Amino acid sequence: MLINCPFCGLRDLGEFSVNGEAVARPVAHDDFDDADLRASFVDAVYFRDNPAGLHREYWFHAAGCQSWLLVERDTRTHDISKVELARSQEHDKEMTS
Amino acid sequence: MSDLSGVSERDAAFGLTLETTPHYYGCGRRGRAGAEPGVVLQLVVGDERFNIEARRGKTDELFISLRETFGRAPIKPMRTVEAGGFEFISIGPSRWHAISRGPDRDERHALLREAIHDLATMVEIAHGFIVFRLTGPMVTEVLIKHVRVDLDPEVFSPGACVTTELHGMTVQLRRTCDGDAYECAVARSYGGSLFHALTCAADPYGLLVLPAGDV
Repeated sequence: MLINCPFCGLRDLGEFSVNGEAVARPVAHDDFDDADLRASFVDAVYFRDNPAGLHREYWFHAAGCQSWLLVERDTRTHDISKVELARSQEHDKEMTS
Repeated sequence: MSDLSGVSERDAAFGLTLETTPHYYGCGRRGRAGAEPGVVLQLVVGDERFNIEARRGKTDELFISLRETFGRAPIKPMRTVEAGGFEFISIGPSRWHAISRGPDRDERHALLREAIHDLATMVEIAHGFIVFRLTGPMVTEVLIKHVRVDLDPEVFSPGACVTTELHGMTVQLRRTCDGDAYECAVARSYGGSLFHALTCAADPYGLLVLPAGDV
């Protein structure tokens, strides 16, 4: 499997490590004992949807540019339809120069 | 025994006693016998390497400042840009290594610090890396045993640089701008493993390991 890193180009899977489903971190407030907040963190940290189909995941290009990537992958075929930097796209100009 | 005789006064002042020639670095001819070695390997010493990381949102301003100071800016990913006596190596989004070799370094470093001022962080990290320089007619044959990037001379052209996996290590591999040599830089603690991987791969072609030196 190859992943098309936006900075490095096509690279072998062995250079990357996966960090699971890309889920938004719950917005924390002062009351960490709030049951709903705790439940939302438990949900974000431990529970995964594991869909059969398109899945958005965080990958880390560990043996490359060390960027965090957002990868959209079909879990049935491993086809990757989209890869983008997880951070803001302030470097668009650099990428296209 | 490691050779510590080459520790500079500056390093000594910082309490650093890094070995100039590591214990694993054995010089001489290895592998297949023949008139000419297929690969020549040399440990590069004496260079300085600055890690430059643009502050968030300041990349464009940094490019402008570097271009005004040195005439060029390292705008292209995966390329080495020579400017102002430095080799700027792209290592990631808005991150570079600037390698400085040869005389008149202090003046260059001062210029670079002035150009960067508050647009990026700049840290000298040469002590953290070991660099091996590879030349010879069979050098790409050695490297393709280990790395999974396209090293076709047309693709991996002079000045190309990648950070990639080599024998389980994260290695910065680049082709020099004159195209004559390849350099592998790795975290210093992996130096022995990289030396072993490269020499074992090069032995079938005949390998000459030169004494460590400036390039």
